[in-house]
Amino acid sequence: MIDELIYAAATLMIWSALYRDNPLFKIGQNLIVGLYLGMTITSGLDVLYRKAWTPLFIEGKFLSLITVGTIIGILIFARLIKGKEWIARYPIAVLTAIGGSVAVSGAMGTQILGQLQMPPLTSIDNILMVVGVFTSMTYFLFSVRTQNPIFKLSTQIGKIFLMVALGCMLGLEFMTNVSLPIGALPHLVTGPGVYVTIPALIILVAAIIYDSRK
Amino acid sequence: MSDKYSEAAGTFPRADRIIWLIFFIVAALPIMFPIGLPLDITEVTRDYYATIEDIPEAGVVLYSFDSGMGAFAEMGPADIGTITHLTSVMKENNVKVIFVTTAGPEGQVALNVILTQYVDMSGLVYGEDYLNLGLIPGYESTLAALAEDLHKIAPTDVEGTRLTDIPWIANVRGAEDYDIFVFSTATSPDPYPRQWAQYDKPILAVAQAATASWIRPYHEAGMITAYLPGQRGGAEYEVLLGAPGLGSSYMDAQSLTHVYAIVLILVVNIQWYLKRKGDET
Repeated sequence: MIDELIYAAATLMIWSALYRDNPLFKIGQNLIVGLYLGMTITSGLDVLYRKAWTPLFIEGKFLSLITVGTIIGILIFARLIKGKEWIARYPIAVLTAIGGSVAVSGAMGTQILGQLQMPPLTSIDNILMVVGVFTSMTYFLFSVRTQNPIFKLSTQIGKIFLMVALGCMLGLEFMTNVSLPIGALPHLVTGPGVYVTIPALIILVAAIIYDSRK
Repeated sequence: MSDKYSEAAGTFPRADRIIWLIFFIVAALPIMFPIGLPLDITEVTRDYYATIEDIPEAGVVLYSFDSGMGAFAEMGPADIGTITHLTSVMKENNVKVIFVTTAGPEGQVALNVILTQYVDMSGLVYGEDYLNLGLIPGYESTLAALAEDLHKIAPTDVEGTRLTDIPWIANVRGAEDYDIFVFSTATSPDPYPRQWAQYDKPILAVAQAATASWIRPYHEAGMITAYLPGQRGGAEYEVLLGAPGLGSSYMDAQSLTHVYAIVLILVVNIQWYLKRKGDET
């Protein structure tokens, strides 16, 4: 029950910003940032303990790649030493190189070659997909300036496809963003959360009356 | 918070405040008084269900749980549905599940909430039926390493038990030993097929509705077998499982708020049109 009350109170403290800035919103905001930071630090220390401290200092695996990784990781703190900040560029370079190479090698098959296979033009879906891809690409072809009517028609059709695609993406984005408050609402309008919601509504009405008389 | 909010205090009937107020009323009413609007099950959700049903006897599932509490309202129903379904095949077909988090600490929090509060894990033994490798930072590099050699990247589970001491996982090394990949992400779905599609194993995805359009090309190309997009996907899955839960309870509110959004779009456009017409005359 207590966790439901805290959940409802924290949610309403944050949502109170929709009316106007207020101390409760600031408390809620700082509380969430603080909690998240605390969780991240705890989790980071746990990973360090399991992945670096235990194998190195408890199991004594000094001659392993973990030692190399740990040393590279520690080098990032060189940013805090005046005059030695440049050392921190090396771990960042290593991370970037590994991340880049892993991503690029995987992208070739899935995001480039895998997407180039033209679907059979046997359904309206596939025809629309192919037409949409080609016409949208012509819309972004800035290197050629032409008055060719077919090219112009293609860019116009491409623009329509792009608008439809962006509309769909916006709709899905809306769906996601709406689902977040909807997910919180059952905790506010049913169960113990109601005992927090009702006083909050009374405070809101009082604030509206107070503000309107200013 | 911008000062304009403070400056505007005292002018309550401002458009954005009215819009939010009506939004909350429209969303809250169906939660308090459920309508039970019909829900169609899409083909992709049926494929998702069938893929889990088809996991072979004693099969191994690698589940990268990278969503979090921030997206729980959106993705929780689909994650709960997936894990509930997995528990049933774990009990019936002796399937083993390996949970892991690669993208950030939040995943482990949400996973623990689901395992302890939303899914009936009775009859299943940690270590024997399922395993949690905890957070292994690195995201895409970790995903690649998990497919390459599990024991190199995760010699121990989240509790510090050595994987070599767990009989069923001792012979599970990499992608060739997994029967199915599952991932749940509140951010980009790209890294998962990038690292796993090459192994020709089924891949299931739980994603936000907003990223459904990212997943679609992978699904069309056969790299991702099936996916559950957001609350809607979760609600559909609950219907398939025959266990209405969080997702189903949200769907009435989702539907009504969408109608509300369409009304707002129409009202604003009509207002804009009339204003433009007025300006012309």
